[in-house]
Amino acid sequence: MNEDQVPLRDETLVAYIDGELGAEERASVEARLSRETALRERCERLRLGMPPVAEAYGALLTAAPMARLQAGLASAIATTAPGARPGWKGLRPAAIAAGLALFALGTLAGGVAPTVWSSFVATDQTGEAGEEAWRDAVADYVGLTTSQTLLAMRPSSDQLLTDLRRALAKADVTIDPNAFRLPGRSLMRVELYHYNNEPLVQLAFLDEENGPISLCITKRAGPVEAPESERRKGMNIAYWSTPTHAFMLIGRAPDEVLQKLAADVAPRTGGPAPPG
Amino acid sequence: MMSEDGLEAVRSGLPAQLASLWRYGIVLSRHRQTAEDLVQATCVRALERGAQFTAGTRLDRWLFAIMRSIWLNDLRAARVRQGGGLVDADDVLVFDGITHTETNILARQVLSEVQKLPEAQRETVFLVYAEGMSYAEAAQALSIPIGTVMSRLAAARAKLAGLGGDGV
Repeated sequence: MNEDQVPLRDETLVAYIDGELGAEERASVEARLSRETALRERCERLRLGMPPVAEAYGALLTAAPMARLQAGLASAIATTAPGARPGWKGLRPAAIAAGLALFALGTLAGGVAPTVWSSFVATDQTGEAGEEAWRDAVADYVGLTTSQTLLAMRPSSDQLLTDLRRALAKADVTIDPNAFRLPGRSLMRVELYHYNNEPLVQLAFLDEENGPISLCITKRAGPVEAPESERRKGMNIAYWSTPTHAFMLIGRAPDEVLQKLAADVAPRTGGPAPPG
Repeated sequence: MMSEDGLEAVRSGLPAQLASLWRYGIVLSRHRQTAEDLVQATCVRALERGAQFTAGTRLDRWLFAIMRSIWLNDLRAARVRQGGGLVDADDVLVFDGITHTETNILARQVLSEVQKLPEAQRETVFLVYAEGMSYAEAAQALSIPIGTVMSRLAAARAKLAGLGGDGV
């Protein structure tokens, strides 16, 4: 049978393009390509139609939430080490995943170990002072949150209040939970983390126009600072501090929106009002 | 005898693999939280089974196999039940902190096209064209014949090139 009558399938053309054919088969494909215009055209379209997948996935690599992945690894090492708490070691991954999801629901009750928020960022990666490093770590984390994340799992308002009270108590915040309301934004979730061995509380609000806005609090002795603004990891941040705690509002909302909210909330947290 | 070496190799090699594991998790699940859960579960299982790893062989491939098995056996069904939709590639890349360079705009466009491919094609495209596996390596990683790798890639490339089925 004349080989030209045997249809040459895309599989073979693609394998040819990818350099996956043996010498003999490659020579045979090349011979046909030199004779058959339609085949040559299809081969070219398959070759040129391929988007730069390697580059695109390379860019994705840089978007990995390293601080949290490293924290996860640290916790995996701790839980699998000989003599680690038996309750974790035998858990199937699905159960672990379920545990994470449960935690994300804002269920702080029942002795669930708080997620350990990595201190790698603080010390190893940025080289920044602790003052700024916590905002960097938060920006890393909060940048992953979308409106869908917040809408996916929504605790009841009673649950939220319970979570909030508990989380604030862990961080030694004695302010009335109502002080943390953001006008016009719904509180969707409360989460408790550890950052540099101190509790870190995140109140995730949903702003209908600008997506998630988080109010984060960590225990930290330091100077009193009026709200200031900055930009990190593509997020806008307004931050201030009291003698005992550091606060930040973070989101993709415009700087002026966050500044306005900060001016409103900061005095209620015991922080100074912004100048002017 | 091998076991101590294996565990040590896993322990010391894991940190450098986290980003690519996460990326594979994104390819598999198209969902960021699930991808992170997958990395976490993979780390736990790899450390538990470190003794089974042969030091000197490719740790990345071994970890990928673990993640894939966790995805297929434990998480995928749950994820499908939750009705996890497409991850918008914009969402995945938007937090990289650097301003949106041309490269990133292109990357987002490409990812959003590729991530729309059916799971089997998407994974094969990723392993061969992003992870640089040969057809034979991809076939082994996916436990499928090489012919299936070829047909998946051909179908994916035809789709990405905006072509119909085989031009025959």
